[in-house]
Amino acid sequence: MIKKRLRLYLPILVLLFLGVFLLRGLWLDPKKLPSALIGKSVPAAVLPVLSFQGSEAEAMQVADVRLLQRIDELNGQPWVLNVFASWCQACLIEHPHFLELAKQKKIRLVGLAYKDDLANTRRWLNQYGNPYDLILIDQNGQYGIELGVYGVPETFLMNSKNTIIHKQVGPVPTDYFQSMALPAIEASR
Amino acid sequence: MNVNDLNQSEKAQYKEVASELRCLVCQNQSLADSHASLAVDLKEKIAEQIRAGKTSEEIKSYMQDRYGEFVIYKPAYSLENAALWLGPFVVLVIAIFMARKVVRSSKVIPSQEVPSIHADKAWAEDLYKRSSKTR
Repeated sequence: MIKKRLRLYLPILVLLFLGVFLLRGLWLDPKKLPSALIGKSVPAAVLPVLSFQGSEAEAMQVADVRLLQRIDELNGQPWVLNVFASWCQACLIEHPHFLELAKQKKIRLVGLAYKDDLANTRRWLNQYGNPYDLILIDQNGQYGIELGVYGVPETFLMNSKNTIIHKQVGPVPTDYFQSMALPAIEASR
Repeated sequence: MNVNDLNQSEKAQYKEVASELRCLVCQNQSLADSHASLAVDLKEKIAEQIRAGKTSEEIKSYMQDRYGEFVIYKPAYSLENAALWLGPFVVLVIAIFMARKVVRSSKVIPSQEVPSIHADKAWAEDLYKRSSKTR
């Protein structure tokens, strides 16, 4: 008798079981992939630096990505690399959050101008403000490939040993520093 | 570096690799099918590496190191993917098991009819013949 009743409810149980997975699927974003680079060192490269002196000042300075931590008072501190472009609409969503973070001077912000026309990058930064301590240039997207960039904006967080400890694909939330960066930095200590 | 710069055999390898890698921008397309700007860059990368004499496996693991396992269309045989590879067979076994049960229970029904004496006799004879055969 019990067996018979169990049989009666079996289809409902199977349906519920499936439902749990399907329901979860509704809130999963297939565009968000786990980064293969978490826990690895930031890829080594020497990239040109965007300069603002005059419109003809094509990037002449260069910077070694792995040596960025050695510059000035932020010696050996965690840092953020934000992949952006003037053609990127979603970048405007997160831009105010980076401007705010820059004002607080809590962490070094490095921008990577990804596959962008330099004149447009400068114009974009003049118009919306420049939160970055330094802007690197990746004009043909080669460094982007090294970083596994597939959608702009993307934001990488490096710890004091230059290891990538967090990656955000798409615009960062308002409380990026509090809710994402700080916990990741704490966890990597 | 472009596909067109490759020779015939290199092109064949290029086609094979590009069709086994996923485009990350339009995720249901392979790199070979996609014209997204990133896909074009990655295809150039593939062409360069083929010219440099890299094997298909080396190129695929190069992509996997940067973009994760998701870029590989055919998932690796690993413990994490066990459900993916074995799941269908588990379902098949369950299905066979259930089908057998259904078939068996439907066979029971005719025997519940009141058998005539003739049918009974034939059944007994048949049973006798079968049991003597197995002996």
